[in-house]
Amino acid sequence: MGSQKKKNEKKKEFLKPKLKVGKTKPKPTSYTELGFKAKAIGLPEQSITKTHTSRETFDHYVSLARHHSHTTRREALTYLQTHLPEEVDSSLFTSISPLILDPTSTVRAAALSLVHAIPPSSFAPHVHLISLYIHSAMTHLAPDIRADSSKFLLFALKAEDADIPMQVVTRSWEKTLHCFGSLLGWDLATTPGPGESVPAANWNKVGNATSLDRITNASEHLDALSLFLRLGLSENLTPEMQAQRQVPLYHADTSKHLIPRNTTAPYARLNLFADDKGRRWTTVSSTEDIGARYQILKGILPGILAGLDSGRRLGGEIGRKCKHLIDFLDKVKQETEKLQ
Amino acid sequence: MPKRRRAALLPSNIALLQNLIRRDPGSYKEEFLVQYRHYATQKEILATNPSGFHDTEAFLDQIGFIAQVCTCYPSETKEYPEDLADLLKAHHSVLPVELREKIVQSLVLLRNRGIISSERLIQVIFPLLTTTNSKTFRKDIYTTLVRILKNANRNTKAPKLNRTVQTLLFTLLESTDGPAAAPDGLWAAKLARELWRRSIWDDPRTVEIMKQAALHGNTKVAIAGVSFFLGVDREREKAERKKRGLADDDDSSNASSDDENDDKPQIAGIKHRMGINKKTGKRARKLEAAMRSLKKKEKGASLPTQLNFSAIHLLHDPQGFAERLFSQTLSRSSGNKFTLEQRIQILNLVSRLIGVHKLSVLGLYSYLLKYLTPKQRNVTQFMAATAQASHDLVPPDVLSPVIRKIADEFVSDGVAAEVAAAGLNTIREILTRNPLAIEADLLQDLTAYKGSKSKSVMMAARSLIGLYREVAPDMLSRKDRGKIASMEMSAAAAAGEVKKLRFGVENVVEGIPGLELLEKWRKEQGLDKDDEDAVPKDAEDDDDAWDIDVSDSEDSDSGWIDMESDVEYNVSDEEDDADGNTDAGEDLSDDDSDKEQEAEVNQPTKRVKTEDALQTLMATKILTPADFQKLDELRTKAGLDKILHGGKAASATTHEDTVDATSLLGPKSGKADKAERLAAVMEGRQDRQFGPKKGKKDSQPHSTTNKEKARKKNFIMMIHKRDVQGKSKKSLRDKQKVLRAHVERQKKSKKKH
Repeated sequence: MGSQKKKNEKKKEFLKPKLKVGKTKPKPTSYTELGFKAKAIGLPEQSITKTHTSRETFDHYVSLARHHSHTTRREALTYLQTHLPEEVDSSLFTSISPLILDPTSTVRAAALSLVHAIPPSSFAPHVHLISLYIHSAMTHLAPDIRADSSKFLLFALKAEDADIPMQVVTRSWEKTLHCFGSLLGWDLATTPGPGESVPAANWNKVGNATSLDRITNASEHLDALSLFLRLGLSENLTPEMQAQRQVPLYHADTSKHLIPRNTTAPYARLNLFADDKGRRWTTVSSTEDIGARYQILKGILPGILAGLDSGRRLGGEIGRKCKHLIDFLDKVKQETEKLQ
Repeated sequence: MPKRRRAALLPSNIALLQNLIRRDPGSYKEEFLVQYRHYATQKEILATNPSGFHDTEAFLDQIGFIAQVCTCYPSETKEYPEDLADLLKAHHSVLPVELREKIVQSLVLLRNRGIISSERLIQVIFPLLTTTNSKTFRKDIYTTLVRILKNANRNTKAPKLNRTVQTLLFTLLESTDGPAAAPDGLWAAKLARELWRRSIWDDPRTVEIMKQAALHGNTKVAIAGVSFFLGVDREREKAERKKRGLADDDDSSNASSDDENDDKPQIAGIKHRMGINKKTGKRARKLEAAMRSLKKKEKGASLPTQLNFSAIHLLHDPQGFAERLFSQTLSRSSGNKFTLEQRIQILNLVSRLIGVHKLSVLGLYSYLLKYLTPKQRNVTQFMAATAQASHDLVPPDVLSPVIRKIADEFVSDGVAAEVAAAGLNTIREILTRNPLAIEADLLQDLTAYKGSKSKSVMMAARSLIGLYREVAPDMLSRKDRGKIASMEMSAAAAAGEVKKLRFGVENVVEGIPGLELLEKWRKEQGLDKDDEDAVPKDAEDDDDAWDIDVSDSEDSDSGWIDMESDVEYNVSDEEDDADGNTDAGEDLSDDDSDKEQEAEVNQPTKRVKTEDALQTLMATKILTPADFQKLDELRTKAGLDKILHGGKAASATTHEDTVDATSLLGPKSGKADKAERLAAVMEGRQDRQFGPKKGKKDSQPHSTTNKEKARKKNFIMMIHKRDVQGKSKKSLRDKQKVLRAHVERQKKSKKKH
């Protein structure tokens, strides 16, 4: 019977093994045989005293930036920030840019500070990738991710290298504006008919639950929007930008025949290497100059103005910011219409 | 109020948003647009680095969500299906598996919602079938394709869709010839075969596809095509029968088949519950509904099968096909690309084609000559193919060398009996189809084997004699001809019209065979005379005559008994039908003797009479179904008489029949050997279970057994029962007995372990 068998087995466990003189001691039951036979043993690079190069550790931490535990991710980011090399390659960007959409706020904050620490010269080639993720964050379902998206956008727009904000503005003008629409809860897609008024925007939808947060979020978004619009619609460039734009003039039309210097991908609008068929959200629209940008803005201007107007009525900081923006837009409108 | 509150609700996850959108698409349009934009950004991110995309989970949800709700916002999501199609087309090889599946699912969903057409969906996913490396994905696509086509052809055929897919299959088979094209061609053949098996496709175009496959350069594809023609019709019939029966073996739609399988136990369950539970109207109605559905299904099961042509019959240009198949695959110039088994399969198809369509591929017969030796492996298959390939339009001088070769190689005194039997049977099969292919002296040599000691050889020789007694008795030796055949011969000689077989002359049917019998019968019944007179009665009869009355025919069956003239019968007059049946019974004895006399003497007059009958009956009367039934009866009776008197008539074979290779060996003689016996035993055991059923019963769901109940019963309740009390009151002897038995049992169980 099974029970008898078990009893016997149990009994055996507690029997003391007999030790005899001249015989080897019996091995305990838990003994594991560790020896093995082999004709040859290859030890490729095994060394207890191995020193990892800083490069290897860095790569290791880059891979940890995608770790499933959020604390690990955050720690990896802080490590990366403190050990940033002179030249940063693309692997770092491909692994940290998804963190813009990270569900944990601390990780996002760490990512933001890391992005701040990266030298702008190595940042510039990856603006497009980062801006894709920023757009994704602006339309994200989770409100706190949406709220943080403007921080990243503001960083990109305020970057020292003038190339970076211009890339954002020229390559994704229309898309960013629409994303702002969804971020601030404005209805930009439907253009109201003559005489109709755009429904007032729902400021409750902006950002987090608490009202204080909401206000700060909204003001941040408005900051980003106003900076974005100012960059896109005015020629009043920062002195550095103008300095960059200065081209020794041999002829009045020389600049027309030069490759535009303020963009990294000047001919991207030609869409030479993409096989996508000109879809609305997927192509780089041709928004290289202010005129084109204004044409795109004109379609959604009523929506924006209505949203700003409702924000102005709220008063306070938001109201002030909205008013400034409305004034700016009016000015731009007048100027452009004067030109035409 | 509640609506407003819901509008204020901020959806925090995508499932909630989907639910809200379903209820109120208008209010949540903005949220949807945000999500749609988010999807677009995600897609862009994916496009930058498809293999390294790691936010798959969220993207999956996004895709599914948009597919679910895009009927609510048709104008906003116009480009969505094309987006998905592009995504799949461009990145299907690097996308994560689940994402790929989700995209296909979403596309199918969009098709079900009517947003994209079936044609478009098939155009998108069909190319993936052959380009993808993943086995599971390929299988998924394959099942999806079959399901789409099945659903499209459910009620009525969808010719446009079918044509699109068929064209795609054609191009797969046509465009590429070579070793690399094998998977493409195989998938095309597989798909076409599956659709044919399910009777989704049953048109000549499908057959053309398979024809293309059979002529494909790749061996595997060619064999797939060939086996389609050989076996698929049987498969289709089987599937059809299964479908009409209870079990539906529909792999793709498991849900529906499950429902159908559940029906029977459902009824049993409902009945059981009716017996136990309170009887309510609702339960009764449920039972009634279940019974009704069962009845409906049974009715469906007995429905006649729809008319389907076999694939071979639907072939366009069978002559060209057979010639190309023969020259490409079998003739020596093609080299030995195929194994012997494959060559036999192809040969089987070619011979079937030749037999069914009466083609002339004369090279085949000389090709077969090489293989017709007893030592050839699988020679019976070659012999069967030879028999199938012969028909009455093959020139006898082409076929006679084949027969000569078989006779020389197989039918001689030096060979084993079963070899001789196989040879004779093959020759008989060939000659049934083309009786002119043998010379009289060879035939007589072969028929001499009727005296063989081996039963199978003797039977084969006799069947040959039986055959020639019918078709050409003059070729047999005098004593082999038999009574009837010699009488007919002498009668024909007396009339001066000697019937001789001639090549190319088909026996044309000039009228309804056996019509003279009907005429005679009608005369006997006196029906012809009152044809004009008794109009009212006839009209009455006519109405009845259009439907075959089953009871009537049974009556007449009982009325028509074979009666020999030299036996005395007691004809009972107490038949319940007074209208003519008794008369018929009485007439019969005279009638039979009349007939014999006629057979002996009046051959020419009979012929004249036949013509008369044709004249009178066919010209004057419209034959009703009842008449035809009577005609059948009369004919079988006449035929039976002939068999009784004149030996076994050769079974009527047509040129379309297949020849079974095993039947050529003749009846099996002697005891079965061990392997055969074992095979029979195993066949008997197939569906039975052996071994203890104890564990199996426990594993099935069941209610508590009595044993379990007894074991769980409260001890206090048992303490005063005899089972328990008796134990202590037992006599010493009884106690000892019980103890002994227990010890014994213990020992036994220990031994077992």
